[in-house]
Amino acid sequence: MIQALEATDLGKRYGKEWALRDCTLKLPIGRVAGLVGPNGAGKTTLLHLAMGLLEPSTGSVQVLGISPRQNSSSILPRIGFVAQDRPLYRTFSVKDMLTLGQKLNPHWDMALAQERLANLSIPLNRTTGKLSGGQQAQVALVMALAKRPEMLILDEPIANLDPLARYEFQQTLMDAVAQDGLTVLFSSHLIADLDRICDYLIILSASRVQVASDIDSLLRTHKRLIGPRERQASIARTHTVLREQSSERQSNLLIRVNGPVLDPAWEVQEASLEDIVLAYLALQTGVTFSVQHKDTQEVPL
Amino acid sequence: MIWVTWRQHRLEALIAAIILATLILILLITGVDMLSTYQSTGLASCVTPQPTCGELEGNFINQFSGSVSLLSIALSCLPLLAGMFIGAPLVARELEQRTYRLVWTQSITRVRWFGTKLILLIGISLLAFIALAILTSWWSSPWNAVIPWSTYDIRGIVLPAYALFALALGVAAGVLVRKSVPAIGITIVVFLLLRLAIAFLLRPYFLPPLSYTGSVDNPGPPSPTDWTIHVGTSDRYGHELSDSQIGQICPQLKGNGSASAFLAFRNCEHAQGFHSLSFYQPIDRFWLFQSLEAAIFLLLAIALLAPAIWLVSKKIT
Amino acid sequence: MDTEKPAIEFYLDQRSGVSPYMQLVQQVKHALRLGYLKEGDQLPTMRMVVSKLAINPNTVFKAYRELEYEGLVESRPGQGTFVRKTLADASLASHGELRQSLIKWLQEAEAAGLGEESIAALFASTFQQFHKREEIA
Repeated sequence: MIQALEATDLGKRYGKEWALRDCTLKLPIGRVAGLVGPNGAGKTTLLHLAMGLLEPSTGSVQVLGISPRQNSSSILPRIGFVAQDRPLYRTFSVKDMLTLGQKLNPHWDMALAQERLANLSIPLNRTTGKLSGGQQAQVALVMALAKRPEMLILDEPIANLDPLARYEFQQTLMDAVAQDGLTVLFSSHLIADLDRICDYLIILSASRVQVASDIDSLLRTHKRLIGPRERQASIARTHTVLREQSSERQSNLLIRVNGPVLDPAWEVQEASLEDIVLAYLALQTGVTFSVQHKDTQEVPL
Repeated sequence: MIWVTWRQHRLEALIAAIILATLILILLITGVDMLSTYQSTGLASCVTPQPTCGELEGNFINQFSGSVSLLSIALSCLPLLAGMFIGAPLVARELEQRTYRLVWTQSITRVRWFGTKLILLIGISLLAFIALAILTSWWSSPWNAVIPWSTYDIRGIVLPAYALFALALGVAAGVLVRKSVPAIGITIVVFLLLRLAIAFLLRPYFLPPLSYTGSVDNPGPPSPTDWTIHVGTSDRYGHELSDSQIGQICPQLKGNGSASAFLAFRNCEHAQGFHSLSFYQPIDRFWLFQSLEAAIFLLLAIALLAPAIWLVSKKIT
Repeated sequence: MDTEKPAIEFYLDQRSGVSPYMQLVQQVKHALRLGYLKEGDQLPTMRMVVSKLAINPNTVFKAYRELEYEGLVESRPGQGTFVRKTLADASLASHGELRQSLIKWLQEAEAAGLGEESIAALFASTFQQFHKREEIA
């Protein structure tokens, strides 16, 4: 079955430094996927590899079943892309940018582009350099949408935008997904909006994929456990402990479950998506994320 | 892509058009002036070696050498300017402003993007330079009747060839260093280096120069339309002498520049059987030399563009 | 664009700890209970909800499907999703009287010097005890 994005052992090296390595994941069609990770984790590298802007050092990547580097002319019309900082030609007017899109793309929908921009009250004859950050983001998104793609790839599209601009961008994006059934892969280092927008999550940390999963199944398979500290070891034997905070007598664990938690001494709670993401992000970097409680003793993983 | 190229470069096109128009105007005005002077003074119908021809030629050259020099400098700079401001930013600007992430992810392949830009920008520039070369050939024709080789660099087929080379050099530099300003710097340095090296080191010897032995009173090649490569003095056996050797044998000029000393010096030379020995390129080789030099720069341009195209389509970023 | 106002306006509380899809379901049920949504009312289209709240279309789809599964709404292809059954029962009629007695009790509590938090705590603990008593019985 064709995946929206399929990476196998994908890696990219610059000299001796690996920007991304051992990346293997399958993103099914129809998902809205968030790609999270700290800065420098390789998010942009992964997205650029998917768009054919970079050549892999090892492994392979396919988008909608096609290799983006080798068959760029057949895949590029089907993917809409907004790069980091939403590049536009700053001396072009908005209208010029739309004309550019029309000239360079075979299935350009000019009416759609103009309609969306009119709904956002973005003037067509303003030069893009004079638009606000939020408006530039909207123009970049509309340009990607007007290609009538099957998939959108967005690199931190809402970074450095004020909260209202962020929200309006997300509204436009979700509306387009509802209308056209797009697959979306966007990277972000903001976690708060994820469970509202995404149904699939990829976590990159230390240039490696830590998680690639439906959000529903993530929430099902991760729980928060509160119980006596001396019983912690038995939990750790069956399940994977991702993060712990302990006081002298009590342990607060975030675990990935491997079967039911039978020990009645442990209180089982739902884990929020934010907690799960933070726990995975903290794993490889050796930094333990802590919420300070009284009498808390930090136990490094 | 044609529209996109035009829209991106329309400011440069406008500036280039203004510069070109100004230059054309000046060439037309001075050209008409030169031509009418050439005809009205009778220089047109004057054929050497009539004695008055020399004087007419001298006056003509004095009158127009200033404007010819200035225009020669301007015309020599034009190819370099094209390389600096059209060639160098072509790829470099897209990379340093990072808009390549926008334009190379539309539905166009890099080869088509680059190819269209190259064909349009270089093609149109070449057409402009060819037209300019035709105009300068007309403009300089009175002057060329007297000293044709002096306008070699600014007319004929070498002018467009220099432009093609400069453009290719600018593009390649931009692809290599990925930033406009350093690319412009490299373009200037390499262009000047190669132009000067070829003009001064290679061009005189495209074909072995001819030699002419004449009287020391009347040195130099047989015709004023010949290009003098080198003039020296030979002894009675035909061997060229160095200045110090001449000074030893005929020391009359040492420390004395008066007319009588000079006369004595000349008498000495005659007595020794000295002759003038000059090496030159005759005028009938002019177009052959132009073709050779244009071919060299054409090959250089291709040698620069081919790897640039390969880099952009396969390797870059 | 719809010119009439939709029967229910959804909102999302990011901090509530309840998943977005559950919030939508709860809001519909809440409106049904209080009589704000009646039989035959049309729920906002998926696209309207998505573009207003900037949420994943799947979330709306899941919520509407859950409500349909519980028999509360039905989706008519090409037309939209409509309320099938109300949760408001005969007790709705007594809402008005009950509201009045509640206001009277609140006035008494205020007069006795209870602040907002004390009133809420008193109500919550009494409600819990009452609930437990009902279960045991």
